[in-house]
Amino acid sequence: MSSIISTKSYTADSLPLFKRKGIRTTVSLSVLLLLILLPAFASARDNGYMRQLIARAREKGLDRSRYWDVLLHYKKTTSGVKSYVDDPRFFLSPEGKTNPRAELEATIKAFFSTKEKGDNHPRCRFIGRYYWLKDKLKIDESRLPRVKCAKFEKVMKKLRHPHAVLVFPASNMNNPASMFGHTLLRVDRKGQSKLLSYAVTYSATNTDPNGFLFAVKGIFGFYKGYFSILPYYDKVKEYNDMDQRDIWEYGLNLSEAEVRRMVRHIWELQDIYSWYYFFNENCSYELLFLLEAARPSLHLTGAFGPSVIPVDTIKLARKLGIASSPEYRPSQVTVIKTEVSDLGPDKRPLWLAKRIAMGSVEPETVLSEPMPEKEKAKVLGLAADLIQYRYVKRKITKKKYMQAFLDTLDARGQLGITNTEPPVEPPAAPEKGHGSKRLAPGFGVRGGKLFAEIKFRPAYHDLLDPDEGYTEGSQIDFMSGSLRYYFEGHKLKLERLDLVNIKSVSPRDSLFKPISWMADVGLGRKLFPSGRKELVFFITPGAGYARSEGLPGTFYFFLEPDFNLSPNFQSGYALGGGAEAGFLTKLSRDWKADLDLRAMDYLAGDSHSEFRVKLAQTYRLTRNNALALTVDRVRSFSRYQSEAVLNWNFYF
Amino acid sequence: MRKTVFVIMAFSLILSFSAIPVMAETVKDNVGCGIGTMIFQDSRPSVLAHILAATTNGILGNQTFGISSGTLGCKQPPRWVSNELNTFVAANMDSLAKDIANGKGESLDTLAELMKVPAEKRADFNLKLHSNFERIFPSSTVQSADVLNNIYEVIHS
Repeated sequence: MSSIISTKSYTADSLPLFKRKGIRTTVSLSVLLLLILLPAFASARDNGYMRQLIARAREKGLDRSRYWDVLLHYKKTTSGVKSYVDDPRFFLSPEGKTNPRAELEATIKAFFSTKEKGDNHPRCRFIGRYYWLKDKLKIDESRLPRVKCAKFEKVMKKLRHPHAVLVFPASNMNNPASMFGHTLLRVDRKGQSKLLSYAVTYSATNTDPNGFLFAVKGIFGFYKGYFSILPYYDKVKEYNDMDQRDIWEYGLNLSEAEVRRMVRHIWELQDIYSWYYFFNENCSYELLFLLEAARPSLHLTGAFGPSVIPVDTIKLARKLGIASSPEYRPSQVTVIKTEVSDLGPDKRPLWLAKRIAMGSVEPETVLSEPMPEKEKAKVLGLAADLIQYRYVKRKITKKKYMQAFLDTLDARGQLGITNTEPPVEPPAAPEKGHGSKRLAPGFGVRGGKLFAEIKFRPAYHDLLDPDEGYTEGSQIDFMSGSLRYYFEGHKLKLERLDLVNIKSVSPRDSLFKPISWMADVGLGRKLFPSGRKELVFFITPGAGYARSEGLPGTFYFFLEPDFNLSPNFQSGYALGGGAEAGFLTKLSRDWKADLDLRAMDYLAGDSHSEFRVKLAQTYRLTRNNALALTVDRVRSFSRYQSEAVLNWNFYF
Repeated sequence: MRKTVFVIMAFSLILSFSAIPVMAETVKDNVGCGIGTMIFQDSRPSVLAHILAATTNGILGNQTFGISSGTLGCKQPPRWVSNELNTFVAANMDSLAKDIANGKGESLDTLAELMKVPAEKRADFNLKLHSNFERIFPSSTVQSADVLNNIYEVIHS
């Protein structure tokens, strides 16, 4: 077959003139056109690739996948989904907070951006998303604009063989509220000192000097919460030394790849805020998002209801097997107490240490004391710790502290290296304690009348509950209520509702002198002249003193003003004050008892006096079950009444 | 129902403790180059502040991402000192002094690690520092840069 290609050839010179010019023009025009359209071709290629990726993402339904929910903190609502993150800077799409697909596609588009540079580029800012999408969509990075995440790479390079730890600073003496504790995350590097590890915490960042405003803002989410990363030594200083809180460290069994994945997500949350809600979107809750980012098969954030108590997140982590049994880091107060008990029966060493701490004895004098070198080292070690404690409590100025501290260490340094540190016996770990909620059915008799009772308390721990895992002498009850059904007359009555009932019974001794205090607000029943107990709203703060040294238990004493409000008062209210004294003791390992006397005199409003004797006992059966028996006799408005009630406490 | 419960919870918390005044003198004493560098929070917070502070991790949460440097205005450390080492020493002077006086401890181990002292030389390192406590901490106003200099001289003497 004959060739289609013409064999006729022309040379430029052989062409007629107008055709020659035409070809040159055509060629130059074509080249010009090409030059103009080339970038368009190029971006068309990019746009094409971008559209390819978006299509691929749609095909795979990535916007509905678990990990996308995890990375964006999406949760189901009645009308769809919503992200728990509030900062608009976290979303690349204006609808990102409620539209996972829009956010996913905006994210893919953002990977192609040429506007930002370096670590500000979306591929670096949202490195967690990028790594995941790169894997799921098999993204060819060479087809994306070149970007270098220098800062991020520097951090990741340092994270050799990372290991994650959930850290729980427990409560301190004299601060019952700190019993709720706190949780933070620590990322260790193999073979490196833990003090240098990064500690990741979620915290609110504003403060108001006004207590009321503070409360309102904290509860209703008016503070911005941010993740911050600090070296762990800062946290140890803060919790162990400043706040005198023991720290429990739970190793997490996340693999190195999982920890790195988690770090990428933490990186995405830099400088991103969410509104901080004291009850449920708090420090402990936000950490759960990080754990889910490490291992999306963990469903942690959905496991909690209207309130998230830090220790409950630890219990869950232990239950799911991701947290191992903890290591214990005692607070400075715990260390001091251990050092004191290690001194032995002779009174002189303790006396010396105290005098040095008070500044009335020079540390060097210890060196010439007639006692073994080891003992001298103990005295000086204890003295140094006491001096630090006094400084933390602001009992001495910084200048005095610096001099006293150094002088004491100087003397210690002359004694050589000894093995004087007594091992600190860890108390029961926090997750070993009874459940934070309590349901207590029971029955009893009052004034000869039989009743059935049901008590419920959503949180947390009172003086008679078993102490393991909790701080002795600390009580904090929220919304603790009791309902009674009186068989005679078939009456169902609200017996009591403590909105808050906090008590801190903190024994004073020669070293530590805390003030015991309490606050009780709620509805309770008072015996009126009618002989009936009627509901009364009360506010009862109090301050006092406790002592346990040399006693088979703790003796406590409180001075309490009391304000009562009730339509059953002729003048509508009663205002007065009085005192409460009691003795709290452990009769055996499982048996606690409290004998309490209270005498109040109301001088304003309906004047009357009230006197009550109460004996309360709890006998622990298992970790989450106990029997409680309370007997009391009251004299109010010159009328008497006795009551006894037996409850079964279920903790969960 | 949930909302009602929440409102009652919120109300009870606010009511109980808003009456108690907050003496919130926020003393930030973390500007220091030597012994006694601490971050003091509210001196005598109200009961409620206690409650919230306990779980909000001390309302004065740090917004920084990375190692906080409390060494502004302090003497410059010698050139061989890395930023991480300098910050560590400045922030942990008290525990370092205690550990060196005792001849052992976690802060001292961390110092050795940052100074890249090999494992087999650690016992020697600890003993040398312990025996020269007064040379390393000659006065109560010594700064972290001096301490590092002194340690250097002690090891190389």
